[in-house]
Amino acid sequence: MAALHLIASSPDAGAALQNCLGAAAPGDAILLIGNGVYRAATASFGRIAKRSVVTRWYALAVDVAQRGIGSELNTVVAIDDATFVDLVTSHQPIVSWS
Amino acid sequence: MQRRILFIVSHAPRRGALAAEFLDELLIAAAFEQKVSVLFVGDGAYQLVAGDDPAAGTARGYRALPTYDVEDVFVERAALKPRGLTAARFVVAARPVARSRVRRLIAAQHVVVPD
Repeated sequence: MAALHLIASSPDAGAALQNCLGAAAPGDAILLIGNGVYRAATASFGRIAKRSVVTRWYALAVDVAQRGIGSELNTVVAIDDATFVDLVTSHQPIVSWS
Repeated sequence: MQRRILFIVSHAPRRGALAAEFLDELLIAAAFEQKVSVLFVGDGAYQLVAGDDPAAGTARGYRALPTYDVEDVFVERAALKPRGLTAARFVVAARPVARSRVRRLIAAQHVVVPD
């Protein structure tokens, strides 16, 4: 089963994304939640995502909407809470990066 | 049921109670006979090096891993050179591993615990 990687910290909060990308496998999925969704709006994000082996990128829609960055997202798929639950039950292990 | 639990250390040491509590969590899992592995990534590799005060920091605690029968200790190879670290300085035998090995390690776990 593929792993689901969770990133909940904002870009300047640390090396979470870098460490995650160093460990993620091609079939894995990465989900941005909380302040982690800000990462999808950074200038370098498209390039980082494209270079990574991971092809499935998600962001939790409610967190995106709360932060008003919805129009700046590309590469990531915005998902609702029910899809979040589906992702959690269909992946193992769940890996949180901070 | 014995479960495979991987503890990932990704932060530099001296985080106060956080680093110490993570180590406690790890050793408790090992004491309860779970199949524990430890992986140091990024700045987490600094936790493998003891400073001049052997009683300070978590390096001393990680030295106890073999006592708890935790033998699967890994460090991301890419974390070493940019930080001027060599395995010879580590307080516990951590095997430098390539990213491909890291991926397989994570894929094999029931649970992954971040620090």
